[in-house]
Amino acid sequence: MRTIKISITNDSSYLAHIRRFVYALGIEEGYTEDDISDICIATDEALTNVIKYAYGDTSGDIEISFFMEADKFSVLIADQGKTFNPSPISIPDIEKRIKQRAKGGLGRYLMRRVMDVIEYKAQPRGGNELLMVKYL
Amino acid sequence: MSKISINIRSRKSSTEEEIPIVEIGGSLDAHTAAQLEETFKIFLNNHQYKIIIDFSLLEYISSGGVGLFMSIIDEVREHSGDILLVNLRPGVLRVFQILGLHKIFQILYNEEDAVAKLVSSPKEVK
Repeated sequence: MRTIKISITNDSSYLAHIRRFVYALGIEEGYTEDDISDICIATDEALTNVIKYAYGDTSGDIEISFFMEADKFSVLIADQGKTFNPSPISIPDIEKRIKQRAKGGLGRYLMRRVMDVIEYKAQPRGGNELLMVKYL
Repeated sequence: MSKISINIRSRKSSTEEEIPIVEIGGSLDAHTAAQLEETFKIFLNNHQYKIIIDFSLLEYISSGGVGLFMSIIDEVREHSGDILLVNLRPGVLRVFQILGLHKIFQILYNEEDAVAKLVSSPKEVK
C-alpha cells in the first residue's frame, strides 16, 4: 500500500490544486479516467464541506491522506472544525429544491454516488474524520 | 488556484432577437461559483431570461456549480425564459446526470439549435 499525506489550510483556492494532485496520483497508479474523475469529485466535495461548514469563517488545517492499493483507493480527510453530525444521505428532491431556489446541499449525495464507502467519525477531542473508499 | 473564465457574446436569432451566450471555462467550484453567480444576477436584474451557456471550455463542475443553475431556473422559467446548456464535456455532463439535472435542463450540442429553441419558446408575459 502506498500512502501520501498532505495538509492544507481551509482555503477554497486550494481545491483545484488538490484535484490536479489526485488526478496525477491516479494516472501514476494506472487507474481509469472514470475512476480518477470520481475520486476527484468526491475529494473536492468533501473538502468544500469542511471549508464551508466545519471551519466557516475560522481558519484551520485539513489533513488529507491517500491510500493506494491494488484493488481500492481510500481518502481520509481530517479537520479540527465544528463537529458534523451526519444525517443519512438520501436522494435529493430536485423539483422541490428548484422551487426553493436552493443552491447547495447536493455534495454528500454526489460523494455517495461516486464512491463505494463514505464513513464519518466525530473525533473525541473535536473535529471530524471522513473516510471514502472506491473499489477499483 | 481554481480559475473560471466568463465571456459573454450574443447571437441574433431568425426573429432578430439578441440571445446572450455565456462561455464559461476552467473550473466551476466552491472557489469560483460566486463569479458566475454575479453574472447571473446582472442578467436577472436586467430581465434577461433567455440565456445560453456554452460549456465547451469548462473542465470541472462541482455540485455547488450545478446548484447555481438549479437556483435560478425557477425564476427564469417564471418569466417564460429558459437556460439552455450547450457543448458539455463528458465529465461535466456526468455530474448533471448523477444529480438528475439533465432531466431539468435542455442540453444540446449545437448553438444554432439552442438559439432556435429559445426563441420558439413562449413569449414573455408582460
